[in-house]
Amino acid sequence: MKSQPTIVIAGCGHAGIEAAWAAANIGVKVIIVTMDTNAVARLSCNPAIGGLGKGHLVKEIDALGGIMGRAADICGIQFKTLNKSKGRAVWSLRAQIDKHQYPHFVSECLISHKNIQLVEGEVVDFSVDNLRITTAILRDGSRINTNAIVVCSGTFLNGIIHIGNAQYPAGRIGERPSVGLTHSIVNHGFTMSRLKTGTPPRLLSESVDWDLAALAHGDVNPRPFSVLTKRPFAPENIPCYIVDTNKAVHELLEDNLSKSAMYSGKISGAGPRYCPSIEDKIVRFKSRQSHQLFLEPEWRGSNQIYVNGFSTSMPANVQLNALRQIPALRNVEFIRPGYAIEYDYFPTSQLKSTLETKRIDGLYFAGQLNGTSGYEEAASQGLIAGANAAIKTMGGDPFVLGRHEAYIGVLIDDLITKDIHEPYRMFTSSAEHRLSLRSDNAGSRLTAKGYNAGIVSNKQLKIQEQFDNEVSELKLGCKKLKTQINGTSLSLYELIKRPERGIINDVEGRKLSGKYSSDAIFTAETDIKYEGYVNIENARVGKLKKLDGIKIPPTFDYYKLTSLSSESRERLSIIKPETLGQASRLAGVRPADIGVLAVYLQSSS
Amino acid sequence: MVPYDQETIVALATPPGVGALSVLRISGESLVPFYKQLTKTSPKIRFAAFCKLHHPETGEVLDEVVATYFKSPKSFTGEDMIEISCHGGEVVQNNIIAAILDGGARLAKPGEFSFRAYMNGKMDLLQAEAVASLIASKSTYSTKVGLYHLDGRVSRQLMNIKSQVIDLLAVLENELNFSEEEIDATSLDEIASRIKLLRNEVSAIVNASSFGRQIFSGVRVVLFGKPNSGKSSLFNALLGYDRAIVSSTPGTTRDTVEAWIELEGLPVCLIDTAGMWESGDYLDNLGIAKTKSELDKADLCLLVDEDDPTLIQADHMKIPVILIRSKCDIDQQVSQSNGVVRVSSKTQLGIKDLLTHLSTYCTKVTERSENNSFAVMTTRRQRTLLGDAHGVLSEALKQTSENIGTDIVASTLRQFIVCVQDIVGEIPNENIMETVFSEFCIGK
Ligand SMILES: Cc1cc2nc3c(=O)[nH]c(=O)nc-3n(C[C@H](O)[C@H](O)[C@H](O)COP(=O)(O)OP(=O)(O)OC[C@H]3O[C@@H](n4cnc5c(N)ncnc54)[C@H](O)[C@@H]3O)c2cc1C
Ligand SMILES: Nc1nc2c(ncn2[C@@H]2O[C@H](COP(=O)(O)OP(=O)(O)OP(=O)(O)O)[C@@H](O)[C@H]2O)c(=O)[nH]1
Ligand SMILES: [Mg+2]
Repeated sequence: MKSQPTIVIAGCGHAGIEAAWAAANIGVKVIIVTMDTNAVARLSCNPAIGGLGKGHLVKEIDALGGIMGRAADICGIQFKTLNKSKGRAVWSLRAQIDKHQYPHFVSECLISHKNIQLVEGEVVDFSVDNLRITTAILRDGSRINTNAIVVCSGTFLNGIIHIGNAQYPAGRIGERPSVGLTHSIVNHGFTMSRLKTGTPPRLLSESVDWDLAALAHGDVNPRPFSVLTKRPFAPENIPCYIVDTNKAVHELLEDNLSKSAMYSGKISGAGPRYCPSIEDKIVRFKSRQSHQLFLEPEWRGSNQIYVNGFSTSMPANVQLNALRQIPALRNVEFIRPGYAIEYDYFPTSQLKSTLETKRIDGLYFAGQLNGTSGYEEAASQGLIAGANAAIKTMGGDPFVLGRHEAYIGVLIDDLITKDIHEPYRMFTSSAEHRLSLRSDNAGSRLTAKGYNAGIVSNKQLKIQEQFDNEVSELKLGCKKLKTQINGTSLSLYELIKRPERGIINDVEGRKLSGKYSSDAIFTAETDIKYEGYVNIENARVGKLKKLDGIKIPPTFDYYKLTSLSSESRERLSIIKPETLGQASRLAGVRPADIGVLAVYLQSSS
Repeated sequence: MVPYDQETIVALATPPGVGALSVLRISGESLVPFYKQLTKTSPKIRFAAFCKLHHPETGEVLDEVVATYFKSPKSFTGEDMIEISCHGGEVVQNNIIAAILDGGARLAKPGEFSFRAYMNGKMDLLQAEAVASLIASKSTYSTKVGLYHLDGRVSRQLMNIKSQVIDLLAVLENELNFSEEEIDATSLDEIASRIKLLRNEVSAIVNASSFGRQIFSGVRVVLFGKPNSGKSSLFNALLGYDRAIVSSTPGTTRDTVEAWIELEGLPVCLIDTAGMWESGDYLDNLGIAKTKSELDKADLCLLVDEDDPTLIQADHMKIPVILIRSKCDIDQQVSQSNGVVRVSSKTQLGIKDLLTHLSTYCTKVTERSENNSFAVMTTRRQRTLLGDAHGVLSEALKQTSENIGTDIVASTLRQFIVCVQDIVGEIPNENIMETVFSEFCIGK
């Protein structure tokens, strides 16, 4: 009897979790090897999931049968939709998370899956036969025969923690780094590089003068992330607090800049521009008198407080003195100072759009080792890598999402075509189809597709279909309903297109929508409002989409196309894009050269 | 479309036929060996060498020529090129071309040299189209504007507007990427005023471009009036030869007739039409429909009447009108009336006058385009896209005034960028390239 195909997931952070889950749902045997089985699904940095751009990712992961959305709904202690003052396409949900409950819930999910086996250990090497993965090799010498390895090692590869002048090897605070795997990967001809990221200090709750901090509650009637979460959704609404930095804080930090690990040049990796350290913000936004800091509880009843906005690699005493310049934090004590971590990553032009490496069959990379930052970005990649690793062993078609289908598609396409010099974070502006890739329609966009790939359950598909029906019925209803406005008669559908108008502002609309869920009403209304703009957007981007359909053979010899500029030729032959679309998005490739390639590929096929 | 196959191509660059000298162009991947075969000397880059031209296989001397070698990428096509000036006359030319073909080259297809230049990034689509317009240009003036394009200045002007839109977009995008707490938003008023400035710049090019159409496609002048009023006769008189049929039966002209003249360096297209009147005849009505559509496309109307043209209702006309009283030879006593040109096609009376009126109009066109420093779009494709781009900015302005989300405004501005990219051909689009390069003739 042929044994069940096996996939090894190396590392059980947010990428590893979704990789394992998707692969297991497809039906392969999944062995998760992770360095510490008590540190599964750890939230290494902030106690929150979602946020601008990232909230979209969580919705999509959920629409594709992933775990993150459900877990966030269950472990969330405050929910808030951000960007409500802007257009609905950029509204994004964010939840404060109980950091204790989250790993617990996720571990339970994984362990109870019949196809998943969780093993404590460290993958340090692998064997290949004919450029195809055959075995994962662990530090203790044990070997696991496998069809694929998905490496999800996060910040652990040769990790070094920096606190001021002090530095020591670690994967995360209190955890060993992973040493050896990088070496094995590089030995197979991969290039690697270094990146860094930082996390703020954790405060002792009793030492904060809470009366001097401003309250910040979440939304009163939030919508959950997951379609599987039971309605009505009535989560807790535990407050966070806001304090502001001031001149004294800034001066103190500025005087000590030379002691910051980053500014003194001790860290060679580039840090994220979008989640800058406090010393970064002070240098870069000199004109700002003050920056907002959020004091966030790390779990229910937590005595440990996360200082959102104060990520730093200053010496502990400087961090402490600076914070003590803020009235509410005059007597503050640290549970742990902020620190920065520096780690290995592999430039992602070495990957295909399935996240399999171009060099070795069955070797996949997902998560922070791909140069991204954030739980949601990691989880998205995990899902795609895990699904594809499983699908490939079963002989199916690759599961790839286009830039027009999902933020996940944008994320992965950006990774494999753009040069990344700093940790990559999801932004709504990266999506040229932003108006159609909304949070609220993630399920309508993706669930059926996920079901066909085998990663979405029948139950979820049914819920989604029910929702989609409600939305189309509502839209149809709006078309039929006539209302009067300033003496002219028009359909409710047309009326809703006007800003500040909605289904339930209208008497007839209220009657119509009575029997539908508020989610369906919101989506129907937004669909109607955005319809015209989405059509224009589609027409604009449709042209580019065509280029994505033109495949470039992996063996294509760019050197025989002498008319390419030498710069383009060099980039193209190193990166070997899979499609003309990818080629057209590569930095350093001239549009005219894409024209040449287009003509060549079409005339030779 | 022409495939880019890297073969060595050859074509005559000067018009075929008799002339003192003819110029042949060869373009290909690496032509040094070929140059040596043809001249038995080694090439010096960009040096016009006087030499004997040999048959590459037999070595037979074909002509004494001036040969210039251009090394890739510093050539018209961006490939290696050889330019050969030989003696004029078809026999010599044909012999030389045949020899070059024997040496392994093939005849270039229409537009292939420009196509390769485009493919090698030596020119953008605007410039390629300018080459096409130059070739097709019917008049002296259009050549001037075509050369301006070739210089790439129009592309630069557009790219400059595009980069300003990108700057504005960066502001909007940045604000969308961060939450209200992290970053202060720019006011919609400020965004609107920036869009307005940009739209003005685009407007300037759009306005200049309606002249661009006149410069390249010609000024369209329609003859219009009652049946039998003498339109066809006047048409012939202006042309200086009989092109349209003239008869005393009303309704002689049914289909429209076109003919070209050049005035003040501009091509002018005269269009004779069927008269306008109510009729039950199907064919007549067809002619009238055609006349209407000609009027829609026209720049100028000559309203012809044998009685008093001022009595004819022409209010609905959207274009300038010149009123003409025809057949003035019959009743010489007719009083002069203001703003009416009196002509007789029979005696040529007033024809010069009328031509002067037309010339004045053409001079205005060229003057206005000169004030716009020639930044005109030469082809219909360019003008349509530029019109779209202008419309897109107006739409964005409207959105800011209606308080629509900046996610939508940003999407609209992205649309503008795509329009500009399309105009200069930054996004490969087979259809565009196909039409652009199909308008070429061989040797360019
Ligand atoms: C100090 C710090 C600061 C951060 N700052 C930010 C921030 O500002 N903004 C932000 O968005 N995100 C931040 N994060 C990043 C966020 O934690 C990660 O993006 C996310 O957790 C990455 O997920 P992952 O699945 O790739 O890896 P991780 O969650 O790091 O998980 C990796 C897992 O793999 C295991 N592992 C590693 N190597 C091996 C091996 N060879 N064999 C077996 N198991 C292995 C580890 O034990 C671990 O469980 C920060 C993280 C840290 C540590
Ligand atoms: N005496 C005189 N007769 C003219 C003159 N111009 C035209 N005619 C006569 O007028 C008649 C009609 O002339 P056309 O030029 O055919 O008139 P038209 O307006 O084109 O007529 P339709 O095409 O039928 O609408 C002919 O018999 C001409 O000979 C002119 O300047 N003087
Ligand atoms: Mg006539």
